[in-house]
Amino acid sequence: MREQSKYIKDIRTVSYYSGYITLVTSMLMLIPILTSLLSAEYNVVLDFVISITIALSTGIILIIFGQRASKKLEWKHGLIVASLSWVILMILCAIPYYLSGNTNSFLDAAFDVMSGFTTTGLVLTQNLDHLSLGLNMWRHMLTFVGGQGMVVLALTFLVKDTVGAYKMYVGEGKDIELVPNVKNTAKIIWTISMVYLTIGTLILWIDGMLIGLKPDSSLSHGLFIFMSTWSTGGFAPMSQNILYYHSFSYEIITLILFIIGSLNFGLHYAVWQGKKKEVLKNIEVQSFFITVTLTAFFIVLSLSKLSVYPNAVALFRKGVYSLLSAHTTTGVGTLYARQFALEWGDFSVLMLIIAMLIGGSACSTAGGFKGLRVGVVFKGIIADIRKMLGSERRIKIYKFHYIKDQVLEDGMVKSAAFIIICYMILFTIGTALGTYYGYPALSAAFEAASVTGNVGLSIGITTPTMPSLMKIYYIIAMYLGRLEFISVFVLIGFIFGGVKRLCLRYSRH
Amino acid sequence: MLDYKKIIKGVFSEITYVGVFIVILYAVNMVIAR
Repeated sequence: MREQSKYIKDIRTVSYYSGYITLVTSMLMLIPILTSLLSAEYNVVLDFVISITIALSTGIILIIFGQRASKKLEWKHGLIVASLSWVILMILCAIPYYLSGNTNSFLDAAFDVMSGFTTTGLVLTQNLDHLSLGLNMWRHMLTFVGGQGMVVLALTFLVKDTVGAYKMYVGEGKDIELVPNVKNTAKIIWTISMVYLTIGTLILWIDGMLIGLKPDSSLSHGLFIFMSTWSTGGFAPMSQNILYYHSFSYEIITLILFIIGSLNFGLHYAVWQGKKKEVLKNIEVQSFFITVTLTAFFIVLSLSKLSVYPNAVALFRKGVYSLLSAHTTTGVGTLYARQFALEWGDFSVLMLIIAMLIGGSACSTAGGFKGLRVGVVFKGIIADIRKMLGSERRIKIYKFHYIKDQVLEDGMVKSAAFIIICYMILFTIGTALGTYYGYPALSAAFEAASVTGNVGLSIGITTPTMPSLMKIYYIIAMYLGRLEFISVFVLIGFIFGGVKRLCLRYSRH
Repeated sequence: MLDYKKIIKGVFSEITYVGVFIVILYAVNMVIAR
């Protein structure tokens, strides 16, 4: 009986904080409402008014339900709040998509929202070139906010008690405290993003006008493309993505933005504090540099051998751009999806799959199993080999630099290897599912890597007509990949615990 | 905490580093493609 009451108390605590996060994120719908009003899209305003009413009501009900509970967060609460909030918000934020009539089903709408939140960038929304400005604003805002994290957003504005806040922050797949207080850490993350939002949008706006877009159109495109590239998202206002602009300058600007966006917020903060050498010493940057250079080398070599592109500049704009887009898990493209399958050859596609799985930096907007883990596991292997070769009496300590000098411990290597294994299992199941539905193995692997690493490049599998089971699996893969498994595992364990208690209770009666 | 000078210098440094990285990749691309 006491256990039962503790479980209810846990549910109330989780409900209270999930309600707050839902409330804050729902308030963001005011921005597309304002955008739609300004552009006289009154039907869209109505869609968002209905959606915000449902979302705010849900948030308030959750808060009221949890109001009497203890506000002190334990580790399990923090992790469950983070993972559960993402599911609740996926459903609520999909309402305006569904009401717009641009998705075939609510599942498609939920897919696009999860794709936005996780900064993946795969799209099932139809008629993309004629979407309302309000809905376009919503799509790109979701990916921008998802990149920094909804918990990070809520921490910035609402939670006064920071005692347990760190536990929710970790639950969202981030673990770096830039300053001792997690609320201020969240504020710094937003400051960095907002500074780049201003600079990036301004540059893209000017460049957009130079390449022939009208000033107002150039501004909205600049803002949307910034939000997408900085968050390593992959959405774009036009169905042709970056290819629509046919501009080398636009490509270079987006390239710079998504590479910077894929870097660790801790690294940004260190550089902004004048610690410029951090860029060269950081294990994650070193790992990123090596893996990008190697995969780019092989892709350029392979595409040159196949004579896919007429000259070196075209090769850079298509080949290297796509590779960087894949490796930073951005997913914006200068190619049509089927070109990967029809023109690139198996080897280049394989290189892209590897790049997508590795991904960007930890505690950034990027996905994948992250350069930090690759670096730590690699250093761990080197350390083990050296230990075997060296004298048994000598104990040597191995170090690496990641914001500060850190000792390489076995636990770190094991935990990094565990997450990499989880990613590989997720990727393998996704590939098997694709082949089960009749897609070629390499194409299925490409799409599975894209969802697992939260990339967003597609080889043509992700369409509204794909099987529903694959859509559901891809949603789960994007979600698990983004939150890095642990918090979702805790949520599943919590739900199963509740079900088990219920079953026991009924069996006793 | 961060002030305007630090922010401007930081952004400039980051863009420079990434710019250099892109130039390296561009050079590698040009050499191989030739």
